[in-house]
Parts: sequence; structure tokens; C-alpha cells
Amino acid sequence: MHTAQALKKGLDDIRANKRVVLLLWLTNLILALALALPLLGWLDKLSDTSEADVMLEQFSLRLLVEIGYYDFSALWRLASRLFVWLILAASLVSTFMSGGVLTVLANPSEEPLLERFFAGAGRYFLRFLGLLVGVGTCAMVVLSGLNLLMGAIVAKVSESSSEVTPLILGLFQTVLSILVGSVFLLVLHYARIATVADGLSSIIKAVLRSLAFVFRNFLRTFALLIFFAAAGGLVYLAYWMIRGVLPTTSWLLILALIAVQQAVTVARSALQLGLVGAEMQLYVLRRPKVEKISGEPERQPELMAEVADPEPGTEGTQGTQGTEGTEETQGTLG
Amino acid sequence: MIKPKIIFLAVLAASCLPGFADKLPDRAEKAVDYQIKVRLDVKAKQLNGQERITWRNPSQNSVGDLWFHLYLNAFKNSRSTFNKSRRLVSAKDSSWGWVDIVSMTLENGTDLTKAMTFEQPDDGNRDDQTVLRVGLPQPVPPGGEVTVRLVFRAQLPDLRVRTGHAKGTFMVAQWFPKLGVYEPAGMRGRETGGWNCHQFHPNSEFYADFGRYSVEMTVPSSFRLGATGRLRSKRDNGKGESTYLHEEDNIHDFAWTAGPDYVLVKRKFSGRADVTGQEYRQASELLDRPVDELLLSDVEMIFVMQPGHLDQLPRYEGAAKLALKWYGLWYGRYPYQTLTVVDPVGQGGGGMEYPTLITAGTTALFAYRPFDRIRFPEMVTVHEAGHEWWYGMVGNNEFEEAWLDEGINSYSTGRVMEKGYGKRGTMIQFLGLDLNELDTIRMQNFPSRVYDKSLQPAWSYQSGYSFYSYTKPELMLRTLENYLGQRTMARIMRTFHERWRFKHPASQDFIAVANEIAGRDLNWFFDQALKGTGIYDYEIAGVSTYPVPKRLGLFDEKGKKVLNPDKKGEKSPKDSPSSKPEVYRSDVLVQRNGEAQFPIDVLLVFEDGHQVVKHWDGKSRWTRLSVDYKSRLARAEADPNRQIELDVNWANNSRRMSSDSRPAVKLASHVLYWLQGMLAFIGLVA
Repeated sequence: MHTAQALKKGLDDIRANKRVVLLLWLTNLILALALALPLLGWLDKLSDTSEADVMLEQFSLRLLVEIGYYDFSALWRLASRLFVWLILAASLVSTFMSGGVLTVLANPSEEPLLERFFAGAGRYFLRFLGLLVGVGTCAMVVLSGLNLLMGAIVAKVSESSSEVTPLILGLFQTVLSILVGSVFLLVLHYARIATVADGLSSIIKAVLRSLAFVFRNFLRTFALLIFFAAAGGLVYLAYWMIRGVLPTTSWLLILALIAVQQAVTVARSALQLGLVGAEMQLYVLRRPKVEKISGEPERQPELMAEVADPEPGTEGTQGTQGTEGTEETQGTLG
Repeated sequence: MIKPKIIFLAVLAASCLPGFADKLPDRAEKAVDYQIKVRLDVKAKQLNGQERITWRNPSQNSVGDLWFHLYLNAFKNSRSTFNKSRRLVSAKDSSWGWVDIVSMTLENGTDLTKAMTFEQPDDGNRDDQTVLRVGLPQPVPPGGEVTVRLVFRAQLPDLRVRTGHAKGTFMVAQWFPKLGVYEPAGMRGRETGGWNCHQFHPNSEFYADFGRYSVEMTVPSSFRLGATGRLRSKRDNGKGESTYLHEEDNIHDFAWTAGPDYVLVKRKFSGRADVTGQEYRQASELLDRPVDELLLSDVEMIFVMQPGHLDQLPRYEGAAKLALKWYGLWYGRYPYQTLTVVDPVGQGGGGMEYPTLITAGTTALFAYRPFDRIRFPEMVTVHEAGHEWWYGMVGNNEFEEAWLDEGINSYSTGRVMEKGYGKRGTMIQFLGLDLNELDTIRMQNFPSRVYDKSLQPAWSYQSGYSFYSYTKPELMLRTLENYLGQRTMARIMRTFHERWRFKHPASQDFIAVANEIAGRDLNWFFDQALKGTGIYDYEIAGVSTYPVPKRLGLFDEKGKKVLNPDKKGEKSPKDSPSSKPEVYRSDVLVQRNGEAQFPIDVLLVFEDGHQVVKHWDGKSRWTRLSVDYKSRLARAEADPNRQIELDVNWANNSRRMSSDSRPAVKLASHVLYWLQGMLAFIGLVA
């Protein structure tokens, strides 16, 4: 029941926050253009050669390789460096943006959206970054260990068993890695939500609370993740189907292709926001009552719709953890 | 009126009765005779064998020694030339392999063991024991024979380079002491006679004499066995072991495999049922030979399969039939009665050729979509089967001229794959990516491939042995075919095969046949493509089109000085020199960026669709071609028919007058989309 409620809330959040969706898409586009534009400049070599006409009908890997022959190393150096910086930048920007998204979802007020968004983004950035580094490090250590162990088992089994057994084990290893990786992902998501919803300033406390929440609501949290992943998959499938029937030989059709691609990207941004909204609602509906820990003042939850949002930078002035309500009162959030 | 098809079938049937009417030699000049008895010790993974070898001296010299390959010793320690080349630094105990000659005697009992020494003709590496020389008490006179008897014991390593054991199955190749080739003076350009017996190297391992092999292999009765040649007999000893006798003539090596899980499936290739009349006629026209000269014989195909791959048997079978058909039609019929295709167990067992036996390779994954469109099993089968013609029958020296088998066979493989699977997506059709033969080989032809040649010893490459031995010669032969035409090329290949079937040719022999059949000197081409290091790259470096300027000034016409002759007859301002001209001049700058030269055509296409082809000998570094025509130039192309497949970059072969950004924008949109997807993922996890 709570899962369905959370799902509905997530979908409602998409409808209610179209501008946030567009903001996410725009950020995504700008970051991607940072690498795509230099590449477009390089690809412009194709404009002078009639050999490239084949690209209008069908992708030619050979042609792409050939145009890169004479400056491949330079291109590769540039692209790989840009790529690394892009991933770093995207991680930071994404961490920044998630604070804004959670703040907006937690505090639907009349204040200007961008003001709320960026105030929240700035407020939570360092804490979210700490969460990312902490949870990411743990995830890497655990996944590396797991894969080393599984790799050794697969190698050992490969020596004596039939060819199918290592394949199945390899598949199992992949699934297990995805599963474990997803647990860490959920822990990160709910730690962020706990930080915002419960007003936590301690990264460790947020992670512990998130861990407890995820394992207590294992199926529910996964159900939400799977729903939105499946929705993303459907969008992707639709794109492939459209792409399959869309000839891209004229300017108009190429522009149509670009429009479809960006529509898909917008849809992905919407699903990303929907997932956050659903997860936040599930957390609010299912979170346990938290006992106050003596010696450390708990920050005030900031997501109460009924409670006015504090001034940016004045978090934790609105009361204590004890203000958390029952499921019914929590269900009105957002 | 009798239908042509009936006439054809009647000719076909009649011509089969007396035997094949062709120029193919039916046997080799036998130089060696091997009789081997070997027992496999499964527990110790050892072979215990006895060998009787008779060698005939083909030269005019007396020969006082015998040279043997002992190739299992390549796996004996980390200092062997093979392992040093692979920079082996650690290995499991089970990975070592070796072969010891326990005793060697002449037929009369004279002991030769003390006359044995290890030789290292290629690199002087004293730790390498892959070549053995044995001094004879009496030299073998010209045309004379010598017979030696050997007892040997061999340890099989973990499976590597198609030799050893994996998962209880044995792949037994390069396993017995095998003679090198005694090359008389004049053979392959030699000035004096001598043994040609190279050490075992990672990239080359084949050169031996033709002869008869009779091999008895004793293995556990629970094993299935596949081997070179025909099965003559099988007998059980009542102690859980079976002995298989395999024999074959006109071959120069012997390999076998045995294991408890193999499934043997026999199929027949029929020279009548599997080749249509139309295919015979096509080949007949192509080669200018009568059909009865091309008739193919029946072959028993034996597939030694892993049980888990039986669902892929049709893929192997289809590919093997394609190979037997097209290689047979183009080069000469397969002369043996069996072709054994081994679906190997374990990594390192696939993709190798031995006389009448090949190892292919697949994975269980390839049975399922979308992986079933990766035609790796087919390609490997066609390629290795092709080696029966290029290596098996035409027995070149792979150590010194690997291109003669690997390159010619790669060219042949590509042509057969295109025949069987079409020109588009010949090799791979996977998740929207189509790769054909030409794509896959051209992508390996970098402009930086200028440090080695195709014609050099296989162990002497800085890097890229496979490119220079497989890919570049394939591109070279495809370029030659485009240049000479399909028919001429087909006749060159046929003639070369016929003349050197069951013999040991050199590169110059191929060039001589090419020159003769093409009726022109092609040395300039082979000197560059085969023996040279230069790359081919022609480029349209610039195009321009502009009105032909009116003649201004004084010109002598009919004994008079005429001022501005092109203005004569102008009646209105619009006919002045600045008005729309009747003729445009189009200039095309063509450059040769590589060292290698090739004559090329340059195509000029005008806005009204008119086309002009200009020929350039391609020798100088650049040329500027100029054409006056009533329409503006739209584009120019160098080598418009893409004859020079060796050209490293076709993307610069053409140039438009006005650029068209559609392909670039389309591709960039995909790149942008992929990046956005990646960023969205980061957005989810970060």
C-alpha cells in the first residue's frame, strides 16, 4: 500500500515540478555539449567527403576509424581527458542538483522555484558530497572484493567444468554485483532523504539510518527502483523503435531525430525526479520513530509542508526530532 | 530438344567415369614415410611412442645429417625461444611440456643417440631445444634413402597454442619428432642445398616434407578420437584401451585429438549434390576451363563436437561445405577422402590447421540471439579449411614467407565468406553493427604500419605479425584483383595452386605466375606491397571551379591583331566579360600522401550530372587536373571504384565543392544522446 502511495506521489511530483524536470534536462544537455561540441567540430571532416553519404543510411565504423587515422592519438587524448573531467563534473553537479531536487520536493511553497532549488542545493552540497564519497568508497571496496572472489571461483570452476557453468556463474556474478550495487545506491538515496527529511547533519547517522531503512523495507525500496528503471527501459525501447523506422537522410528528418532524442532525455529526467519523489514519500511513510540521541542535537526536518521553510542557512531552528508525526500526518507531505 | 541441364548432367556423369580430366597433380613426390605407434597415458598426460622414419635425399648432394623438429620442447621451460618471445614469467607446474628421444637407431641397429645435438639456427638461444640435429655414420647419397627408428616420450602441457590437455581432453599437435625440409640447391632461391628446420616460434610453426603417414594411437576405449587421415582400423585390447590406425598420403604433418566427451558426427560433401550446375558453369567461365576439369569429389566430413555445441553443428557443416565447394572450384578439388573439423575444448585449442584436420571454435553463447549473428565459427571453419589448400597442399615455408599461406588464405576466406553470407554484414551483424570482410581488414590498415614488410621471417616483426601476414596481403590481393579483373585474378590463383600443389613454393614463384597470367610485369606492385614498407594514400586535396576568364588584350587571329576577341559580337551589357560565362574551369588537386604508388582514375562530377574520368599514373607527389565544362564542378573522387583497397584512408578520397553537414550532425546527435544517457546514469548514482 505504502509502495503504491509512494509511486503515485512520485508520478504526481513529475507533474507538479515540470520546471525542475526541465532544469535537470538542461543541466544534462549543457554538460553533454561540453564534450559533444568539440567532437562535432572534429566530425565536421565528414562534411567535405562524399564517402560520408553512407552514414546517412547506416553507421559505418570503418569510416569513423579512417577519418581518425591521422589525428587519432591527439583526438583520443583530448576526448579521454574531457571525458574524465566530464564524469567528475557530472558527479559534482549531480550531487549539487540532488540537494535542490529534494528541497523542492520537500518544500512545495510559493517561494520562487529557482531560489528554493539552489538554496537547497547549496545547503546540502557538502553533506551529500560526503555521503557520495563515503558510500561510494564502501561500494567500491565491497564490489571489488565480491568480484575478486567470484572471479576466482569462476576461474577455478572453468578449469574443470563444462563451458556453460562459468557462463552461468558469470551471469550470476553480474546479477549479484548489480544487486549489491543497487543496495548501495538505495542507501545513498535514502541517506540523502534522511538528511533532508530528518534534518541530520551527521553523515554517519544518515547512512546508518538509511541502511536500517533500506533493509527494513528491502522489497519496497527495490520495487520503486525497478518500477522507474522499467519505465526508463520502455522509453528507451520506444526510442529504438522510432529510430528503426525513421530514415535520417534529410535535414528535417535529422532534426526530428534530435527532437526525439531530447524528448527521451527529458523523459529520463522526469523519471529521475519521480524516483526521488517516490523514495522520499516512502521514507516519510515508513520511517521509524527516531529516538533522540543525547549529546547531539538533532536537526529539524525541513520537509514539513505545513511548516514554513526556514531561511536558507538557518536550518535546524524549527524544533526537534520529536515533531515527526504518524504515518497519516507524514503522508500529507509534498 | 534436349534441355541444356540434361546435357550438362550427362557430361558431368560421363566425365566422372574415367577419372578427373585436369592439370592437378594427384600426388606429391614422396620425400618421407612415417610409421608411428603412440600410447596416451591419460593419468600422466604423457605420450609414449615409437617412430620409424624413412627419408629420401632429393638433392644432388650427399647428406650427412638429419634435422628434426622437437616442438613440444617449446613448452619445456621459461627460456625456450617460444616462451621468451611471450615473456613468460610464471606458470603452473602442469603447464610445462617436453619431448625426449629415448633412443634413435638406424634400421641396422646402429645407435645414433650420441650423435644428437640441439641446434638454434634462428636466434642462437642455447636454452631452446626445439631443433635436433643427428649426424649419420654414412651420408645419404643423392636419391638414396635412410631409415631411422626412434623411441620417444612426451609430456603434454596444459592446453596452449592448440597443444596439450584441458578438462580431460587431449589436443595432440606438434607432438612427434618430425623432420625438417632438405632444400636442394635452386629450391626457393637457395644457392646451396641444406636443411631448413626452424625453431618453434609463437607466430609460425609449419614447414615439413610431403609423404605418407601411418599412425597407430592407443587411447582409453571410453575416448572418442579424431585424427588426420582415414581411419583404417580400430581394435580393442580388452584392457579398456582401443588402438586407432589412421593413414594418409601426400601430407606433411599429423595431429589428433581424443577425449571422453566428444561426439563424432559424420556428414558427406557431395561434388554433385552440393554444387549446382550453375556454380560449375560459373567457375568454368571464370577460369576458362571445361566443367569436367573442375568436378569435385565426395568428402567425408567428420565433426568432433563438444556435446554442448551440437546445436551449432549446422553452422560448422555449412561453412565446411562452402569451403570444400568454393576452394575446390577455384583452386582445385580437395584430394583427400576426409576432412575432420574439431570443435575444441578449452581456451587455446581453436583456429588451427593440420592436414585433413582443422580446429574451429565456438561458445555456447553463439547459439543464441543476438550472438548467433557473429559468424566467428563460420569464419574460422572457412579459414582453417582454406589452409588445406594454402599450407596443406601448397606447402610454403611458413617461417620465412607466412603471407603465402596466411595472406593468400585470408584473401580466399574473405571471398568464400562473401559468397556464402553476402557482402553486407559478412562477419558480424550484432546490435545494429554490420561488419563485412572489407571493413574488418581495412580498420587494421593504419598509416603507421611502415616499419615491417609482409615478406620477412615471421619471428622478426617489431609488432603486427598478423597484420603483415594476414591482413596486408589480403588487401594486396584484393587490390590486385580490382586492378587486373576478377577473371585474370582467378586464373592466377588457379595456376599457382596447380603448379605448386604438393610442392614448396617461394614468393617469387607466385609473382612469376602472376606476371605470366596477367601478361604484364607486376613486379612494381609486389615490390611495394609485398616487399616494401610504404603505405598507399591518395587524397583529393583541393577542388575549385570558376568561370573561364575571357581573353583580354591583343591576340593574333588570321594574321590580324584582335583586341578582346571574346567580346566580339557582344550586343548588350549582359554579354560583357562579367556576365554569366558559358564555360567553367574546374581544378582538382590530387596528392599522394604515402610512399607507395599506384595508377588511379580521378572522377569529376559536375552539377548537371556530367562525369569526366581522368587517369593519373600516381607517381609524382601531386598533380592538378583541370577540366573546362559548361557546368560547375560538384565533387571529385580519387580512385572512384575503390580499387586500391590498400589505401589507408578512403575518407580523403573525395571532396565536394559545397560541404554537407548532415552526416556529421547526425553522428554528433548520437554522440550527444549517448553522453546524455551516461550523465543521466551518473545523475542516478551520484
